[in-house]
Amino acid sequence: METTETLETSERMKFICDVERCIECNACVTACKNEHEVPWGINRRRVITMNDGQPGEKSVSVACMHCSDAPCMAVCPVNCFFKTENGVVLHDKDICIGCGYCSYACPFGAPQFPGSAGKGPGESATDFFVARGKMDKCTFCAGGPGDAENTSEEEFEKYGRNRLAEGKLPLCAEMCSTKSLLAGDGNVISGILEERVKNRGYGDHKWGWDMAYGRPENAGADK
Amino acid sequence: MLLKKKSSSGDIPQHGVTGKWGAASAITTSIATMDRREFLKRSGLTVGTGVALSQLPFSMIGKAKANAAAATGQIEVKKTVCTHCSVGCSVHAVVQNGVWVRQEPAFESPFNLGAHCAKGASVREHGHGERRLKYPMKKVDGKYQRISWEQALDEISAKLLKLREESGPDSVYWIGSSKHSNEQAYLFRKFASFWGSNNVDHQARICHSTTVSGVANTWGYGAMTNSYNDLHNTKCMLFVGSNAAEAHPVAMLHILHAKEKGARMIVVDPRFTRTAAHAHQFVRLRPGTDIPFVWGVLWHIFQNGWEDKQFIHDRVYGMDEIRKEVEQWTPEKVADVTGIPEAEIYQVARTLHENHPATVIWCMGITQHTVGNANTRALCILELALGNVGQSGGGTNIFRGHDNVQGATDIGPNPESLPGYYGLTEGAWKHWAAVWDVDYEWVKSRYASKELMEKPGITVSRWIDGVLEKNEHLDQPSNLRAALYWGMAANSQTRGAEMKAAMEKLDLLVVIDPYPAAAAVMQDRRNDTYLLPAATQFETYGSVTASNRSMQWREKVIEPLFESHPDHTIMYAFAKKFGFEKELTKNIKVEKDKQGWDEPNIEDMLREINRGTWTIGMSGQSPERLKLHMQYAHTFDVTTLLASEGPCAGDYYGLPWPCWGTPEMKHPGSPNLYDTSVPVARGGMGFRANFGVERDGVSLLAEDNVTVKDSDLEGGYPEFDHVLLKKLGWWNELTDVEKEKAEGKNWKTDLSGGIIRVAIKHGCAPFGNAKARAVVWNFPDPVPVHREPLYSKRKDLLDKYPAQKDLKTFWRMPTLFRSVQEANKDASDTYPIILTSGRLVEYEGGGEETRSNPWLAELQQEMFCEVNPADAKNQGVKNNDYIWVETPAKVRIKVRAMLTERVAPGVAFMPYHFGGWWEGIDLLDKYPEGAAPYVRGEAVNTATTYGYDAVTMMQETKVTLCKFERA
Amino acid sequence: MRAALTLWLLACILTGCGEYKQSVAYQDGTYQGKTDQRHWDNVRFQHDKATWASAINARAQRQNEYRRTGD
Repeated sequence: METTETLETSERMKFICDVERCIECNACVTACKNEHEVPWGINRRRVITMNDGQPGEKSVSVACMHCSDAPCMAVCPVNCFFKTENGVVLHDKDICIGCGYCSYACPFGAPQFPGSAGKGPGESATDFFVARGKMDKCTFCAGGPGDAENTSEEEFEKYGRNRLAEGKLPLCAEMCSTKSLLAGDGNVISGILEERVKNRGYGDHKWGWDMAYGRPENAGADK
Repeated sequence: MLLKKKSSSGDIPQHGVTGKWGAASAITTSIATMDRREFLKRSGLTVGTGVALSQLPFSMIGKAKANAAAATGQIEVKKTVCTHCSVGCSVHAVVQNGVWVRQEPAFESPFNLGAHCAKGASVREHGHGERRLKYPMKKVDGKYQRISWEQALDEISAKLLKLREESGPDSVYWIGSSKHSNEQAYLFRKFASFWGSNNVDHQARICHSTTVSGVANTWGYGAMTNSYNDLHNTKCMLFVGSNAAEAHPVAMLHILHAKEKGARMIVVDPRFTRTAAHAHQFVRLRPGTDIPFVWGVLWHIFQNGWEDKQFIHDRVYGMDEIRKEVEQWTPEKVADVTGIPEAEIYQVARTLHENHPATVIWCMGITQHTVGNANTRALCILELALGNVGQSGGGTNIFRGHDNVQGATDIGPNPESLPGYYGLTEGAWKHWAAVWDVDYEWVKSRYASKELMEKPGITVSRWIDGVLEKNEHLDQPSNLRAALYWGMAANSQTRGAEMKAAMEKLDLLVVIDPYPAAAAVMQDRRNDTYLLPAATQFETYGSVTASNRSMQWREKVIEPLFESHPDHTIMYAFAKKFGFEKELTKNIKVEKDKQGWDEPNIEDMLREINRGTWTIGMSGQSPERLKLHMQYAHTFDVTTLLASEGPCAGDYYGLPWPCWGTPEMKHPGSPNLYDTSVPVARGGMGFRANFGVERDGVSLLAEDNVTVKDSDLEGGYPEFDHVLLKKLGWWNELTDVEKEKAEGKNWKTDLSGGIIRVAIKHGCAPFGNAKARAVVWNFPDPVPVHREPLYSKRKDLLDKYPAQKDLKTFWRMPTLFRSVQEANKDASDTYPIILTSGRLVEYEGGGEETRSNPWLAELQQEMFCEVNPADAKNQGVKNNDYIWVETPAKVRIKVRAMLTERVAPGVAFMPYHFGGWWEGIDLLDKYPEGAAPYVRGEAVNTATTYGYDAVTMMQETKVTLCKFERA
Repeated sequence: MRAALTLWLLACILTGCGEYKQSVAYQDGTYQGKTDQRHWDNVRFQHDKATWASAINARAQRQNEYRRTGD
């Protein structure tokens, strides 16, 4: 496996989903709902299954990958995105105009738009092209910007919990049933995966790693 | 790359299932549904950001006021255990001012190390419970109306007493629950006994009853032999009829860890399950041919001399008879019957031979068959032949279903036994009467007769026939006239259409549950129907037994929501109405709870369980010890479950039973059953001597070289009683007090625990040291033989492998086997598809609870049927079309078609967690207002057919026939 | 839906045209929103990044069951 990161890029927060372990149990999805009180229909995290029901079936848990060179940041017409010192991509909901460009730019389908107004649990969605509302996405459990103090009730209402400020990692990873989804400093979680791969001797593929964190032209962009 | 995800596969129409991604790289094509206003507020579009009630996300509404206040309250972390399966995942609940505000991973737990599945990661929602049954309800002319608890208790008890008067105590059917805590389940059996009936049962009947009786009759105890954690030590895992990735997801943490350490993984299943996706080898068999598969594997093992001859000689009785049966199952014949290519069977045998120790894991795919008991024994025999039993990394790791189904099986509401598998003999009754401190004659007077007191009751799988069957065919005086569904999903039992008729015929139907449950809506009763809100296990406290026999202590997280009450307080309230509350709680303190109800003390109940349950060693797990284990969970090893330091040092986590003797004996629990390499005092033992000491002149005791480590007796020995103790000259090691109580008793009935204490002091297992039985001579098929399912697609095999003969009285009623099979021998002409059912990870059991949890409900929004694309093409059915599925029961259900190669051509699969639809119609209007689950759908069991196990009355859910067409 | 798809296809097709890099590059310093506190700007971590980092890295190891099984 490639390790483009060097030791100086410490505490660069990343996700890895170990596809050899993901069993598509959706714990990450409900943990996220639980922690952030995310309403019906908004999915900051999802599990995608490839070759469902066939030999070679693989599942992977996907959310915002907090890319090194995040395309959403690049295309945002109002520049509402920023990146924390630890590489977490966040946005200011007071600036966001809900245009949806980020959703076209994102290769992981992370941005979510609450606006298209279904009626609630059990009801079906309506058209995509109605007012979308402000974008919402995975915050790596790091809350959001603004006057509100980290971990305050106000921040929670708008962006969800701020676990990083509590010294904890995203709940989706912490609760993963098979410890397939790993979150934390890139080097640390890479090390965890490496230990596993060494043990099992198969499947060293770090899903989304190249695309989000290590495209050649962007290598080290987050330094 | 084909991207599919269960019901919402790639080509969902735009207005279909919401909130799913078609593909990772695609734009989010489906925009989800939600209340727009709510999210706008959260996203900052609206003015003001306070925490006014209306601005909270929906799941918080109702608790919002408390939540706002909670901001300033003290934060407490309550340790509890997930209520969704038998893995026993610890949950850390963060509570502020009485509101469950957050859930943190319980990294300390050696079972789950912080991990959860979708259900476990969302249990906090149950502590808010928008869709809970909030008040007692009563049906008045077909509509549910709110009533008071007082009125409900008065009316129900008056009606029950009237029925008791008119038709005897056996006219009422009490359905208990595997979701009750140990103490509640135990109290429920005691309660039913004092009501005067053995007509009491719970989910274990339709879950692992065949395992319990098949496995216990093979070697002593009918439980998982090792543990989830012990899988770390295995070299090979053979899954037969277990889909752990969906049914026991956190078990996969241990399974995949084992795989990483080099264990081979084989999955045998009619479906290519999510577990199979992780296996080294997947073997697809025809549903209902498990025995031919196992014999096919054994054929190669015997043929190549791969069996453990020494082990078989020393510790197994009757393997030669198995050999004879296996000889007939040549590779060619096995391939024909099972549909598995010959080479694949050989591969399985070879892998098992080359990777020692191997463990076998099974679940409902083995148990829920008309030959369920024989299935479980066949797998035990396989493990015995390979010499895999009684060691770390081996054994039969039987994953139980509900969170406390093991505990409820051990000491709960079983129709054939008092707590602790004591049975219903006069001796058993006298034992428990002594423990309860009530007069045996008084208990007897509660029953209609001594005969009925000692006769196993009707099983939950057949209660409907207790209503519908002609009275002269029943082996009890009256038909059933009332049923109480106390924590059980009606839609998890087969023959739904007949169940509806039975429910409608009853004089009284009562549902006691945190959620309205299928039983509340599937019938068209007009009156005499009550719903009583029970609290969840998060609103009370007590012990729970995980699949590996470890007990854990749950703390109360929050006070009961709405007007719900914990089950044991409801039982006590009824006992007061029936006039036996004093006897019910003779040894148990009764205190007022915060709601002002009388609450029998949970700790006292566990102490009473400890004082009586010597048989399985559920006697050493005092509440104090269990609480200490929860507090020091982090000191236990994740593989061995042993604490090496701290106050629990030397104990195994949760004191897995048998935890012999009194709590004061400090037995550490037994992590791996039948392990002779460990002293009994440290959890070792041989096989149980429960079937006599000899059979036809052949000794049933272990051979001389099987000596449990540090035992004073060499080789085998029978179970201990006062005579044996005297013969051995150990009697005087009892104290005078013990002698007095032990005189004339055996290890199971000696209330002093002295016999057990002395036996263990000498390194002996109180239950003896015997051989396992490959031949269970007291069962209908002493050697497991293949019998075709009642509804079989292979009519050419019916003559050769017929079902067994009908039984005239079996668990109080006639039970048909061969006559059903013969009457339906041509059914596959009309119904060409084999129908099987199983689980989804998001839901549990009948699913009312989990489908009422929006975080889970959003993930599986519609009932579906998996059909092979080839079969679908024949019917002109496209993916996601509505189809009608019809079974030989002549019942049709309307579901979405899901085209997938997960099922073989000619096989269809449906999950069984759905309910709330009836033959194409949504029953939303029939729920009490605001209490319908978010997701409703057809219950597969509305359409399932007849078929029961010949020993335990387990229902057949895994093989029937069907046809489908576009709706 | 169809419109979204058309847009997407269009974007895909366009990506194929020309030798120039089509994507927009993010320019540092153009963020318009409010500032955010750092994760360690609180009582527990006393504004010390190192304390926070060691806490978070220790926490990350809880995702590694090999630390508990000892193999």
